[in-house]
Amino acid sequence: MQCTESQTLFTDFADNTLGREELHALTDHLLGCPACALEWREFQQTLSLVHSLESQPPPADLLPGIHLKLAQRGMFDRVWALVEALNFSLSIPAAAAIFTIAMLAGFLLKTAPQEPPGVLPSAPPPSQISALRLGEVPTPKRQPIAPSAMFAVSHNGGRQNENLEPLAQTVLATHPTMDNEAHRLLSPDMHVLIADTDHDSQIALFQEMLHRNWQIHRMTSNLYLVHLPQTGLEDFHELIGQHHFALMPAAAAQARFGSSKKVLTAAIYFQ
Amino acid sequence: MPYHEAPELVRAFRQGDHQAFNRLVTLYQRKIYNLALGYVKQEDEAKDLAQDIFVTVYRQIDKLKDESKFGAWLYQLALNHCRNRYQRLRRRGFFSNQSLDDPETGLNLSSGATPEKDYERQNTARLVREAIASLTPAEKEVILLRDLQELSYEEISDILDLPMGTVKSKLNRARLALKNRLKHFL
Repeated sequence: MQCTESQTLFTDFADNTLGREELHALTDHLLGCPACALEWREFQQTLSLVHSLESQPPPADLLPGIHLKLAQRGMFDRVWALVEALNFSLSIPAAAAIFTIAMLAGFLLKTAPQEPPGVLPSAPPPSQISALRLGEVPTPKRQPIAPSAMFAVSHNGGRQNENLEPLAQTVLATHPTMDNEAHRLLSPDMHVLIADTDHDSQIALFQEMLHRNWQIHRMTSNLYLVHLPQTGLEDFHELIGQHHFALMPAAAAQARFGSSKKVLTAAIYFQ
Repeated sequence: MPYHEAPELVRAFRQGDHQAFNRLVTLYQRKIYNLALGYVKQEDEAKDLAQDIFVTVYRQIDKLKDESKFGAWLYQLALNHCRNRYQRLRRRGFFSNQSLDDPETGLNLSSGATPEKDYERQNTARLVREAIASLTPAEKEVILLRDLQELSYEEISDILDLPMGTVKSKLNRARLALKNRLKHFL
């Protein structure tokens, strides 16, 4: 056996998969050729070193990050679907502009700072509370919602947060997912901005929701996602109607909003 | 790891069970993350790459014809992502600025009993990583799949779409190349 040929058999030799004749030929060669014997020893040492490498554990936020990316891409798909639904041909500059805006939005979402976890939203300033107590009528009005509030959607990201408040932990532990439609992962159907409320009212609100078996996910200290059946929409309006709120889209105030969906997702943002 | 559960999880995911997707991610995340780390050698980049791979799994699961082949399909998809990302990063000079001395760049040797031993082992791990990183992409790929991911020849043959004999000969050449790069250390 030639030296070059012997080295082509090293992997099979290490795996113990050589045929009888090849095995004899190789071992005979290694016994009579110190250079190849040294090569074989080094080959074994190399394998031993590589096999002793340990893999690294994946980062804890790998899975929540996947859901965030899915949500961001879902938004892009929706924008594109909207453009297609408008049924007019875009000029190249217009298409480029839309693409740039979508990319910029994605970048902003990715770099938006996460709020530190807290317990429940802090109480509003006394001046706002007194304004309500004086009989101010809550008027639904469109208010901008922070990008992180609109798309910070993670299907089970909350499960990995050890600082979850007890209320949300109870929800996650006791209420299984109501259904698994893909669109629920992508973005909320409704955005509710509750401007003036106190700690006790928030707890009461969530307890009412829990009582109805709705699923609540705590995303940040003042953002919650609520999954409710479409049939519970009127009930939902009634509950949030007790607070000073803004609702988007406006169509969500209609009883038949999202009637083709079994489950609606509401992002509730406490200001 | 119960990888035999994967086909059942894929089936459940296709039927709309998104918890099944989460479990698939949990099942494979360590392997995919380390595969990514083997290519890009930087933790944040590897995390981003692994996430992109699973996002593609989520969006393209309907393209998988045979649920029992999920593992091979996932690795094919992952390797495509890794190759593309590697090329893109290399064009941008990402690797030329990257020091392999950086302790966060991946695989470690099993922990030793004393700090001195640990230091020695970490140093050895760094040298081995450096040697693997210096291989050609094709050599590195087969070493990662066989020696670090511990896949069988049959699995590698499925993933790379190569006859098993070719996989073995490629692996042998890659290991010899690695041995030559580590020669001064052995």
